[in-house]
Amino acid sequence: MAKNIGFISTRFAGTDGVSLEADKWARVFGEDGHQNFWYSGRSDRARDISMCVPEAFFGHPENLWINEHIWGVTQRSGMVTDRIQELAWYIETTLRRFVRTFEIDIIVVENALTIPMHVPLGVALTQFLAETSLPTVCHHHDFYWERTRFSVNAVRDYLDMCFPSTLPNMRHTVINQAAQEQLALRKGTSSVLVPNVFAFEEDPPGIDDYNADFRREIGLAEEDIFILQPTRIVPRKGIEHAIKLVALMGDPRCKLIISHDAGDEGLQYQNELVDLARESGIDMRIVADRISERRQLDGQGRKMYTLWDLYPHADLVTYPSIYEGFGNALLEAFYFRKPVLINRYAIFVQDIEPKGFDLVVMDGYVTRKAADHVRYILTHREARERMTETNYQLACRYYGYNALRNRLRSVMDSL
Amino acid sequence: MLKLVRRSTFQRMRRRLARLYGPERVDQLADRLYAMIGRYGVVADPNNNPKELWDERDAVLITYADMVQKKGERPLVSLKEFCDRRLRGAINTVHLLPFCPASSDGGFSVIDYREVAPEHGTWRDVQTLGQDYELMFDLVLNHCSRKSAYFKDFINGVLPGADFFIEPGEDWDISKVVRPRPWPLLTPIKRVDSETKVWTTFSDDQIDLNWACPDVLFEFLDILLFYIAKGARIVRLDAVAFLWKEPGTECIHLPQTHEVIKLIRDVLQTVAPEVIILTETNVPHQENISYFGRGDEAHMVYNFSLPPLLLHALLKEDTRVFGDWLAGLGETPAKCTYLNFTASHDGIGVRPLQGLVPDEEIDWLVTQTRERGGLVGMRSIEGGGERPYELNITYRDALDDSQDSRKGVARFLCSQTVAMSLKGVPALYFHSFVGTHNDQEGAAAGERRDINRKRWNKSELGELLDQTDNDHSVILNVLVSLLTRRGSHPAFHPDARQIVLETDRQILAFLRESLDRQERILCLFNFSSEPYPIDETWVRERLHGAAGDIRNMLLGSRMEFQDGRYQASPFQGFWMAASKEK
Repeated sequence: MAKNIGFISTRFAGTDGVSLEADKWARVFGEDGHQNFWYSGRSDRARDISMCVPEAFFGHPENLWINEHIWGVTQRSGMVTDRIQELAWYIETTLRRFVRTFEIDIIVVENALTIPMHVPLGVALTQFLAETSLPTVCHHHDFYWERTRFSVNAVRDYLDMCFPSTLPNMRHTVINQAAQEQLALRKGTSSVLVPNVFAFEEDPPGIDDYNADFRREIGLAEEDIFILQPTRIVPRKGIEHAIKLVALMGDPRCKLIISHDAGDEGLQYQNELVDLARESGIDMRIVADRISERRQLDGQGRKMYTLWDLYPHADLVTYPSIYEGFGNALLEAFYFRKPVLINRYAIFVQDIEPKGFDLVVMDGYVTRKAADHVRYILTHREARERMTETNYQLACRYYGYNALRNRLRSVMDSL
Repeated sequence: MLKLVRRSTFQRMRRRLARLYGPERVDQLADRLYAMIGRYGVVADPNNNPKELWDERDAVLITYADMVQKKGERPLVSLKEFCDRRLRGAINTVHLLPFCPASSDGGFSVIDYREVAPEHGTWRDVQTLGQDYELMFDLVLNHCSRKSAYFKDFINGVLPGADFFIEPGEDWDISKVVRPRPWPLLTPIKRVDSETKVWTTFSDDQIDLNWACPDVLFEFLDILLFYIAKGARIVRLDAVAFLWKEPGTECIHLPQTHEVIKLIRDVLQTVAPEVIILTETNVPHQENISYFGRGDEAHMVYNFSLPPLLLHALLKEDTRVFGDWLAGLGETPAKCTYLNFTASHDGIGVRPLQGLVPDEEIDWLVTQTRERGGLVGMRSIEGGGERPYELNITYRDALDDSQDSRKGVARFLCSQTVAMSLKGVPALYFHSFVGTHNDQEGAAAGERRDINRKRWNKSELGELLDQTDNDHSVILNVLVSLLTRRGSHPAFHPDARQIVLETDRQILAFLRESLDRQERILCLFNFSSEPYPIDETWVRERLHGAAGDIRNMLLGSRMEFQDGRYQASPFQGFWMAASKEK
């Protein structure tokens, strides 16, 4: 029977992992006849099916103020408790309104009871769900115990209570096996593994009139080898390994293109990479000022491209991450049938590698052998196509929408 | 947390929210407002009676954060050092003109309201300044920068920012909109998937905010509380007259605009009753003081008529227009007062002169300004042609005399003494304090108003002020001395009575009487470049028949009348009071 499903998160806007994965779930729910509605603090969803409550955004100034007072310290003041409760109280009133307005039958909590970037939202949700017993699916992307920045805190009580809460009306889904094990160990609750997926059933977009000039726009020559690092510049992405790879290649045609900038995590790592690239004599370009969530013009009238405008041009994708919750960029590379250099981060080793993907792998550091492998792949078209096609087909089987649909139906049936 | 919110006040806020956003949304908005109370720790202390809003010791320095510059030193640190060394005792409040990251208009096109522009310093520097001085911040709430995150979200269709700006459709009648600028009201914008036009009252870099969207109200209430948490004692609502827009109206001074200010006042009354709202509405006097409401809107309004009327009177050496205006000012509502200033980062608006003096007099003032190296802003008028609306010149140079610099300095000091003697709180612009001349280079490189926005090199200014034989140090020392003396006289309490006296045309005289009526000061100024004989009997009568010595509190000395006369020098001022000594 068709249900009204209310997605709840701190943000549904742009191309962050949570927003994208929620979209995919919503698509599957929609195809199964359900109606999707959205509650968040930032929103690019249609107004008639969404409710935007700015206080629910993790970047809301009061929440930032609360965060300043609860992380990195072990004691909080009464005033901070008051403000957490006050904000939680208000958010709970808006959750009630959301459920009432859209006659929500089932709640899907997207990471808001997982990573405590917005403690009052977690408190509000937990209380609200305890009071209403609404059937709820928690879609967990990354838990606080996976991030060192949350390890010293003054909100252990709230973390135990809400991140995640374990109410009888809740079902938990996680995106990798390690998370499943940790959730069971720490909270004594079972969960369903629902890996991130991609629309492998559909053909990827290619080079068109809009993006045909991208290589020229960023100053690449026809003969240049476009090595794409499709991530933000944060330390856990291990981008120094991509620089090392390009240096070992020893081919001046190799250009390392980084799609995004440091975001809100500071410029120190980026500056270090720029220095390292210069010292290594490689050509590294950060093109974040030309990348947007949508195709548009910037303030200077220049074309802005999406990440999907870059992939078709890339010759190789580097993904030397030290840690990933899953690895969406990896799926994207499979989707665009691009060869990938990957570091064997834990989730990859446990969840993805056993499926049999054909990749250039490194294990913590880049070897000459890995560089030779990349060189071979780039210069042998048949081997390259065999490799990318294998990956595409495997990904389609394990990480396509059909796989997601099967898992979600099973979760919904259990509610 | 126990929240002390008066039921009657909260009900009033609910009604205001209903009037602004409709009764159907009021429950949710009232919840939202209630949740804000106490944010950032801003909450009224139930154990403390709120302190008086103001007294005779209040005096404001108007300054840019980077007015004093030294390589390798954060300007906010340099500014505090300047205040500590040069102005201690004279001022107790610093109005930091906008110090947030901004993209144009001298900081009034704010990109991020919650950051201090790194080229000025840090929040810690602001708060350090706030340890020794009360702080006044601008809340630029009519518009924000095109480079702000709000506008980026608007372009990309991300809520809440997607509703933060005004896109008047074809059916909007904008024919009656009052325009303070000559350029187009609407600016074409490309959004992600469409093209639109947004409302831009001041420039295409300053996009007007849509206050009909409650998220804008709550965003700015949050900023307000944040500023208070950072030490703001006075909050200046910039260009607030234009806040609300409705089709088919003039889009200035709308009832909803007043309602928003009343709501802000209610919020402050609840969480921070010691914080003062100052409205900045550079419009004709009656419209300007409408922002006092019935004592339920601004605590303080700029006395915009003062700078041009005072300038006119001093240059014409004729106080009749000024005196009449002063006599007709009327009483302000309770707990309301004027911010008396003669100069600021903007020019001297001449609109207040209209209707009070013939147009030829305004043209004469324009000529005087140009002769003194100043510039003039013109505006288009209906039926073609242009009229002046703003004089751009330092107040010191506006009163200069090319033949006799001492006369110019005396006239300028007279102007400042008048302004600080009037009922209200005095505010002096940095360049008035140090007697800065016109910055012709700045104006040539930037905009017209930059003629009065010079940034001083710290060592250059220090050298000038350390010498005793130049006009800059003389002006500074006199003004500091006067303000310091002023602070010890309850007759200059902003609420103390002011009685304007009838005099000869070259004289301005008024009485100030302390709230307890124990002190009565006769403020008298010779606006003429000729000496003027002050009649002793007349003075004694004005001072309630005082029989003993008459002291001039400006100098702290006894007035020596000769044959019942005291010869006032050109542009000399007096604060006369009966001596308390027997």
